[in-house]
Amino acid sequence: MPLGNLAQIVINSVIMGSIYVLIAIGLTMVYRVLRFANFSHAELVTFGAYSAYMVNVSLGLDIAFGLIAAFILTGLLGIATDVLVFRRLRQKGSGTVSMMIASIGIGLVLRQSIQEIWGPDIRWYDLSVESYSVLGASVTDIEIAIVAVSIALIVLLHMMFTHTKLGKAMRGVSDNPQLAMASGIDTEKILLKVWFLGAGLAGAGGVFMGADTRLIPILGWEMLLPAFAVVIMGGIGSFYGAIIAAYLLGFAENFGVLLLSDLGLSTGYRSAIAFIVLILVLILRPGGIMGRRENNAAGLRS
Amino acid sequence: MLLDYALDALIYTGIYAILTISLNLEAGCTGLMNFGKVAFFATGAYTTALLTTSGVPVIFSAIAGVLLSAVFGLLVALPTLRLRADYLAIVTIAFGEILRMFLHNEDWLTGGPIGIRGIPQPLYQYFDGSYLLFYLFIVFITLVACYFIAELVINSPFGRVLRAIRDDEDAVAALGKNTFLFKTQAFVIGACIASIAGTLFAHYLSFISPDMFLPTLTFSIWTIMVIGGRGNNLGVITGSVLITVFERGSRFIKDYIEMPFGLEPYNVRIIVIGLLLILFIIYRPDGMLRERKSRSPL
Repeated sequence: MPLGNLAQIVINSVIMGSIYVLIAIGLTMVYRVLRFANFSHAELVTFGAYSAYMVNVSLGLDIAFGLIAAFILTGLLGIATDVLVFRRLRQKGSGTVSMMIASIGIGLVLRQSIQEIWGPDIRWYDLSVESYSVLGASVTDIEIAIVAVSIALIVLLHMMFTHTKLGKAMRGVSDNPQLAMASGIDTEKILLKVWFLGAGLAGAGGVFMGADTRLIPILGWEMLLPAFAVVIMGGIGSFYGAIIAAYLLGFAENFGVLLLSDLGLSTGYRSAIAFIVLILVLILRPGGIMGRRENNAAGLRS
Repeated sequence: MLLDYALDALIYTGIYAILTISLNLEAGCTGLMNFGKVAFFATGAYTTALLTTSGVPVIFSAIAGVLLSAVFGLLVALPTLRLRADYLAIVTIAFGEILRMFLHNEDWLTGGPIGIRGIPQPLYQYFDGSYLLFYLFIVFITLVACYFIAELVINSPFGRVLRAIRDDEDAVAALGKNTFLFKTQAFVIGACIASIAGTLFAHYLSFISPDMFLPTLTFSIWTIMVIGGRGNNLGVITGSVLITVFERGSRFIKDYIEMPFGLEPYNVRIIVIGLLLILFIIYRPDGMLRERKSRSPL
């Protein structure tokens, strides 16, 4: 394989990995703290992408403002879904099954509302894209920004989880909610912050996906399978696991696509690669690659 | 004309009811979160479409669909049913999408995005003019059969184990039951019944395409089950009637009345289905008809 092609695949893998990280971190946080798979996370991603569209195209501002607006608006939407739906279910003592069913309902409402407002057709951000050549591969300034912002956010989150009181409280709540409550942490308050952060990151991921490809109402839905593959591969609730898994999946997909065309299969099967990765993880290491023993045991039984 | 609309709505009701009965067996009774129901429905529809357009009699193609669905059910069940309940939800949702991708991409077999046309309508020559009525009869007979099979399963000792697994799997395992085996069987039976619904669907429309098997269909079936009453087969049939009347009715009505604010009827329909799902799960999680106490002959 020529060096240029290899460099291109590596670059594409890093870009996809950077987008998966943002989407998966929010999903894994909520999954860990509230103990259910939130299927409406996909629509938070889409909502983020379209709220940036509002700022970038409808208001004519720079996409950077769109990104900030997407983070805040999607974060607030995440809080709204919790206050309106999930908190009520918690208070009634409903189980994870009810939570998951409700999240499906929220997803339907959000996705179709987005389609009602912005229509089913493809849209693009208003971007001035400049292309550079690196080792014979091409990369745009937007793509460089995507990777840089993602990595910056990861570092910030790492600092928050390890050095701030809020971050430690979040970890406490996710490790053991009862113990956290007994230690005087207001879990409901922390939960809202988890929702804001998780949903906001999903919204930012949506903006990046939209900037790298295009905007459609199923943008987030298409990211749901890879996002869950990353979360389960990384180990549910594992921040560092999700980071590693996101980049691994990015590489697996981009090298896998090459394999697909070698086998004469349609590259339309790209997202099947995430599915295969997911099944392999479930068979080999259901607790995720970070493989804490308690995690693997938890993987075997709810 | 109006009669045709009514017959069409009833046929859809029947097909949805069969699908929901199969979901009820898995999710309502056993607690298996199958979010990929549409995949097994599509398996039945495409198998019968491919076989009957090449001259195989319907009865054999229906059996082939059921067998293939059972194999798919087994393949999905094996890596997931030993694990946490939510993993099944994720894997089934993904399986439905992968299968649809396959139907979309493999033109040589499935006709790609255009799908398959000219699926024969069995015995059409004998019922020319009143075919809808005849087909409704077929659907109704199948529904009754599926209902009694599902009731038989649920009220048998086997079915009681399924409900016990849903309520407390660890306790059942502690009593020495192989819960994995029970769950796999329930999942495979559910897959088979869904395939039968797919067969009926394909021969009714006489053409199918991948766009008819979107995940939204799975979620509509879930809404029907939650509204009707999880674990109660009469409840889910009632739910099917309500949702289908709403779904078909809103299609029918849109030709005659203007939507306010220029809203798209398709979007509104799905938003309403989503809202119903949320409201029922919060305020009436048992649905309209509560699950009955298991009837034991003893």
